Amino acid sequence: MNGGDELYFDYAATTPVDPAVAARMATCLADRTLQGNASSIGHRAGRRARALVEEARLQIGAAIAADARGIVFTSGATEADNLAVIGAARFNAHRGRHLVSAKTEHKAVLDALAVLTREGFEVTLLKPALDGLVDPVQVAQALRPDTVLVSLMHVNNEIGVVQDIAAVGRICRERNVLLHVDAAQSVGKLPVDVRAMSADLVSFSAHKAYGPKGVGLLWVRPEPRLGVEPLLRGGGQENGLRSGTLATHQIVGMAEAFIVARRELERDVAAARDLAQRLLAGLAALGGVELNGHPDQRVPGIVNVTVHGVEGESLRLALDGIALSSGSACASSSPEASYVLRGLGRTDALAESSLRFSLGRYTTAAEVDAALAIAARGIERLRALAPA
Amino acid sequence: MTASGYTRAPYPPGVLEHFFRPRGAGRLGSGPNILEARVGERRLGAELLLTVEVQGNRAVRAAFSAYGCPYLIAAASDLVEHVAGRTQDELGHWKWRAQAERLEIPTERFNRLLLVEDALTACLAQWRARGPDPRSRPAGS
Repeated sequence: MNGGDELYFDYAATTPVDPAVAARMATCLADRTLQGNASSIGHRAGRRARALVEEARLQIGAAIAADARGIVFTSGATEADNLAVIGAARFNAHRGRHLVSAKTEHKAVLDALAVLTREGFEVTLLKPALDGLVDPVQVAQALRPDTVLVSLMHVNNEIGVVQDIAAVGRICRERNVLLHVDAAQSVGKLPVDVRAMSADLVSFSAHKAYGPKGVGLLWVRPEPRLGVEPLLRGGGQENGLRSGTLATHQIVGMAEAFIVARRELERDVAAARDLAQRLLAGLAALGGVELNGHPDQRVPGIVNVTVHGVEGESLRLALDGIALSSGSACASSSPEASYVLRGLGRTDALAESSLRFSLGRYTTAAEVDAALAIAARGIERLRALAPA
Repeated sequence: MTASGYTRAPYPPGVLEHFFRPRGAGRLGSGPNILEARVGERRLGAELLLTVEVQGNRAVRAAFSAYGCPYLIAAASDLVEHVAGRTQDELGHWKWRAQAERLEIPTERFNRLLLVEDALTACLAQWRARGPDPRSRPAGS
């Protein structure tokens, strides 16, 4: 995917749709007999759609090693995060009103926590180490008798570090505290095993894994059944947890994307690792370039670097021609320097002169070399322009 | 903004032109005819070094080094282009507002232009402090 002659290095923001996904979705959209309402099981059109949805549910469950009965389809990971955090906290408020998360979580979690704070919940936000990792011991120490939920992301969307979710899950189980995991960035980047997470709620997105935008899921522990208060009310779909007509074509697209992601995992990861090393080596050769996040406990496709000696906004403009994300938000919807990088101890200025290159299945070595050439030219020019 | 507007970098054409092709980038060597002013602070996100070569009552050429946003770089480059060939009086009438209009610099970035003005003002102050150039004085004075 690229915009004209632009080099696409923003796979962590969204991925292009895999052709197999597009084909399966197109079939679903082209065949009128498959376009009934999946909740209208009183007629064949509805039952055909329902069959597609339930087949997809099983395929997704297999792809993420989860009991498929727990899958609740949503509009994406943001809705899944909101449903998990707000829904689980409200439903289980009788058990306690204390919540634990981390400063580097996605806004979909942090803003959901802010809603709960206004409802009288207390929130402890853990500060990760400078490498972006939360020590499970930090989680254990933050738990209180009235803690009801811990929410921690699996793969950080900005710096790519991978949290030790299994260890946190064991701690939460021992202390009888619910665990929500935001796994929006996980599928296709590392093996996903929901059972091994010991989690109660896990959020996923389709469009981060070569699926369509506008669909995701929240896995809710089905056994013993976990209580969650729904955010959307209406038709009572998805066991009452998410009302709204099921988007059959989106759901089958997500299923296909997760199947392909699982099948291609080894190849995708190996290719991403090679390309990321090539990219990082080229950037390091410029000098004054520092990798953000733990050097090893990370997914390979997200390379976040701070570029010293250049101002952030000029850096982004100088790299025009590369589609990437930066540590400032002039190019995004939030008006401040990256709170994730600031959470890791970066100053505002250094956060703003940071770049997130994220690459994926369709990235080529030639594209990496072309991006490096643009980056080298831009960075060297700006450094030369700065007063000595 | 139109839908197609989203496909372009969100900077005015004049800013892009100066940012990617800055005039007079660098620093003029020191010498009796060189004025120099350093304004701003890098730790605050903007620093500008302006050097101007003068001969008599006229600026011959100028150069700049800058650390800062694209608007600062563009404004400094635009000033450098403007300075060459101007007299002290003409440069004394330089107005950042006119530059803002010409380069279509948004209001929230006007502080960058004030920095550029500070640099020019400092150079002009050095120039005036030197007194009249002997070559421009009337004979016998």
